[in-house]
Amino acid sequence: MIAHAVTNEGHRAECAECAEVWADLERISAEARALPLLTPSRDLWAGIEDRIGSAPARRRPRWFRNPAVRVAAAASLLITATAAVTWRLATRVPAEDRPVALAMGGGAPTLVASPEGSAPRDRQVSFEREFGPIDREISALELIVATQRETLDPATVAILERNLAVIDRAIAESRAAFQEDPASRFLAAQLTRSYSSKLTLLRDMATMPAGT
Amino acid sequence: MTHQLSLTPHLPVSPNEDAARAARGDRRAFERLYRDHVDRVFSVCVRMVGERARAEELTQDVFVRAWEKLGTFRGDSAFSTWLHRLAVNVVLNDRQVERRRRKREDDGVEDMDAFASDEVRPLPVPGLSLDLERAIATLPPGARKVFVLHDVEGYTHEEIGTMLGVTAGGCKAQLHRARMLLRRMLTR
Repeated sequence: MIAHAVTNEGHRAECAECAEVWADLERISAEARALPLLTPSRDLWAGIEDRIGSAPARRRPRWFRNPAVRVAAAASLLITATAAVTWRLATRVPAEDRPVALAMGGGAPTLVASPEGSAPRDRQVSFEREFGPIDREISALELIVATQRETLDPATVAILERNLAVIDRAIAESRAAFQEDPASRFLAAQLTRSYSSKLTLLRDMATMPAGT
Repeated sequence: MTHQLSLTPHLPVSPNEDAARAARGDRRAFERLYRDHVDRVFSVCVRMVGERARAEELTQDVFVRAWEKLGTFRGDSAFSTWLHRLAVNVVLNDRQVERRRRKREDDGVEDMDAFASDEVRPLPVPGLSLDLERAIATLPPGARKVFVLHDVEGYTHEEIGTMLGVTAGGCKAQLHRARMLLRRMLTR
């Protein structure tokens, strides 16, 4: 029997056999629409609950679940996030050639820089404004590193933490010395270099592939 | 001294509200969604795959997937519609994976278009007592999918065509074939 013949209304009006087949098909279709819901033979919830665990439903796209992609995304983010700070540090290096003084007024300590051709008073920059962004970037990187840390080889982590400790000591000493002698260009540059080293190391740690 | 009892009436929570709660990690809300929708999800799974045990596994997969994807449900449609569509996708993807696996096992021999196959699966499916249920379970996989999606679940040919990657015309032809096969089985 040709399907076209059965589905053709004009033909069915003249062909009793096709009309009967069509009526059967319509009956089947109507029965299918009326089929009741079926119930599983067992409660499936326990198995589902085990599998969803305590992980919250998240809106992360599928690609984000790929660890390699996540690391790449984190690296891009970090490069973007710290680019401004890195630039500031890089452009501060010539300050070694400038007279620098730290004014310890009533508020935050103030860095006094004296580039060529400018009056010192015009070039007063708050210490907080100079180093605050760096401190905040370091804090942000430390948070990322804290989550990344457990994916790294413990031996690597131990070495990196020793290096970080050395840099932290250098920062603390430079900062203290700088506050004692705010006019020292050497100490200002030393503090900048120490911060720069810490940023570089933290950035490297944050972008290290798992298992390193 | 009298104690004031909290007599806040138990107000039913809408599925969309439960979905929003579940998306924030509320597992009890998600369990309510499961209880309310499990039969519907299981029904579409078992009718599309024709195997009860596999359908139960797929039903679990659907809800796990739903939990993972709840963040993408924005409430523009009914939760049941969203979940149902997700269930269909899970089943279709499962079949695709299985077909690819079979293809590999056959050492390069393509599992030739189950959509066009006239192979009829062996009877019976335990637990499906109705004649029509049994007959649907014995349809060739491609015809069964189209019949269930169109005649049982109410999807249009265009929607089914999109899901299966076939034309609406091809879908209509498969549906007619499925109905004719069912008629033959039911009128034996």
